[in-house]
Amino acid sequence: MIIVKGGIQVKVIVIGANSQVGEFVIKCLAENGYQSVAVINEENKVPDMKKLGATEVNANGRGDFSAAYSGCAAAIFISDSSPNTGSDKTVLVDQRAVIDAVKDAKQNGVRRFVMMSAIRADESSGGSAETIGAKHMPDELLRQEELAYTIIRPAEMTDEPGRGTVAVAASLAENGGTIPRQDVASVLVAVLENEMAFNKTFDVSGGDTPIREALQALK
Amino acid sequence: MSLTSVITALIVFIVLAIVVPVCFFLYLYVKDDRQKQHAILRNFPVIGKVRYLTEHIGPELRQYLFDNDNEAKPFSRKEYQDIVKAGKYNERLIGFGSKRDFNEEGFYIRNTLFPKQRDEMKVDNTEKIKTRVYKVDSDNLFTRKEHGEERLIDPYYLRDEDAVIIGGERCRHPFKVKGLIGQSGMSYGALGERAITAMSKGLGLAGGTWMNTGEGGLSEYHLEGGPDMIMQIGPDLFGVRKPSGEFSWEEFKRKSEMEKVKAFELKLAQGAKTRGGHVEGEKVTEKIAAIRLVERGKTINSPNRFYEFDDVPSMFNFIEQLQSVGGKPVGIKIVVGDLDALENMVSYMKESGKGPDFITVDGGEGGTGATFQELADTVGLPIMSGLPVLDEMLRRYEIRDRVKLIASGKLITPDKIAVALAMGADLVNIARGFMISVGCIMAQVCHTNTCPVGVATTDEKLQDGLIVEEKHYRVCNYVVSLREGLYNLAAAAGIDSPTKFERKHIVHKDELGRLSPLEDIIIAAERAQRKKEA
Repeated sequence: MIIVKGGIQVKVIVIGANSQVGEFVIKCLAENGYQSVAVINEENKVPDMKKLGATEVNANGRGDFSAAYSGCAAAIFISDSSPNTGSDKTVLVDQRAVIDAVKDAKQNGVRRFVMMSAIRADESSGGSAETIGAKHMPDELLRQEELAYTIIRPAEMTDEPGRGTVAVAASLAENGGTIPRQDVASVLVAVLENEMAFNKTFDVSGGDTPIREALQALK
Repeated sequence: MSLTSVITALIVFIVLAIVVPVCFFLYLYVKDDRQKQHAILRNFPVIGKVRYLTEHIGPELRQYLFDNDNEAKPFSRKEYQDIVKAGKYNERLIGFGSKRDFNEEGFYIRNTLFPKQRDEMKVDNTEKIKTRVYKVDSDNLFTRKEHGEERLIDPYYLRDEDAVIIGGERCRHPFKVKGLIGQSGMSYGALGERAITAMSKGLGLAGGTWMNTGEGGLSEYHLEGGPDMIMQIGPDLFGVRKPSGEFSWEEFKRKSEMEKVKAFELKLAQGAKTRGGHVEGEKVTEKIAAIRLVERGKTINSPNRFYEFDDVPSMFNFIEQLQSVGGKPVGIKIVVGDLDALENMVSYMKESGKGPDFITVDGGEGGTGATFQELADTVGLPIMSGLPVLDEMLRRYEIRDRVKLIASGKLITPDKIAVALAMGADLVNIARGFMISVGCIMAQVCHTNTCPVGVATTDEKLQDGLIVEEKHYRVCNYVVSLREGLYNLAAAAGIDSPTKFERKHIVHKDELGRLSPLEDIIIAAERAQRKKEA
């Protein structure tokens, strides 16, 4: 167990907090008694993050926000890329940003790293070298670091209200269905201190199992 | 078969197929020929009926088949669809270009070279709204398959610091609202309980909006969904009167103590009618009598103006009393017509320091339901003329910051609302847009209690068609979609909130393509005023 609560609230840095999932994550963290540092790209969004329950906000998401890691026990990284994002963009968004984030996290003593990636991110291994790099590398990179990582790959996300129930598996079927963004956020927060999820990569989709139960079933 | 039976059958056939129709024709012919009501039927019996038949079904034929998308009044097919789609799908996307006639005169929004980015907008989307929208699965020639699904949508509230506050300085309970669009006055009785309930629930779900009760009193249906209320008081004082007909301070106090009642509005006039209304005794049911505080079954003829006051000073005294007793903002609803009378009022506002906390300006084109043709068509200025003139007067007398302006009059899409905001409106009221979102098909029979979709009727059978659960989502989606549209337009105009629309953001283009600023309307109006004085 890496995170020790010891009476004080655990602080979690959320990179990509201004995304749709990010907003739900901030809210969910506050509801579950965590402190949070919301990393966003635009100063204008600071009041929104505060309103959602962020303890601190760092609006330097496009630049150097390494200072924001201090005092954080865990990081949640929300990538903007989806299965529909072109591979070229994935390189730009995912790979560089993840490499930086992991590096900064490690330097600042963050030992828990939860990342939302695209579902079937590992499927690109059959493709050309560039494609492999694009979709594969961020995940691979995390596996190599000395972090307790969890990579969550949601199916196509919708704006439906969260149901609180999901389906979790190492790899879901080709047609992975859909999942409400709110549920993805709940899963990202629920795995933070759940050791069953440490150093694992799994797909999550809409399903009938309550989130906690679904995570316990991970082996 | 014997010969006789063949002949019998033949005779029967001839009688049925020829003799009966001929006799019927002759009967109609003689009847038409002898009647004295219609000249066309006397001169052209029977065949003249074609004229009446086509005249009768003409409106429907035009509405569905022959009118083009832009020409029907009061709302074109295009405008109608804009509202329905926003309500059903919470979207306003179109393909292959605008259907607006760009050769006609009209207002345009001046876009900037460098619009605002989405995350630069001052919008509060932190609380989502749980609503239902439709999604089209397939759209075929004879069928459209679609299904409803739950959706968390962005509410597009104003930021707290941008919220509009009515009666901020002087009221004990100012009304703060985080959206610019509310529902204009529609009474229970004019609309049925289901329509009112659907609107109430939809607006309550959407938040950041308000519902005006109309002059027919505050009904339980208005309160059902818990939206913020502006209670309207007409000359007949429904809901705040003694049985004898005088104003009841006791009732007024009772209403003002209700948490959801946020403000009061004295209705001096509305676009459709600048005089008192009329309710037939048979429509005054027990329920309506109880809400309006009148006698059951007795015909009501509303006075054309309040008995409580007859000039500006006495009206302002009455308003002052309402403000002090209720502690909530008090406004007036007017139609701009006589500019001199209006200037008198504005000047007295400045002089006395008294007056309303808000002024609702209804355009002459505004107004639902039943009225007289002559009043609806020609009395009162349209909103796009009346609103900037009033705004300018208030500015000239340096009291613009003391009073909020609510504009109304067919402002049913985001672009029209933005133009009104740029002309000086702080907020905007919509009535018919909400009627359409609860199912109105523009049958134009509001005055007959036979509304075929159960909106503008208290008839229980007809109301059976209106499902509150279904329609309240559409009300919510419509108002949220309008708010989203306003943010789109603000971004295009280079401002980060629709509260920042100013005169400089719009321009008028005439039929010849010549542009003129809004100030031209104001200058022309002042010229008209001087001419009347002379």
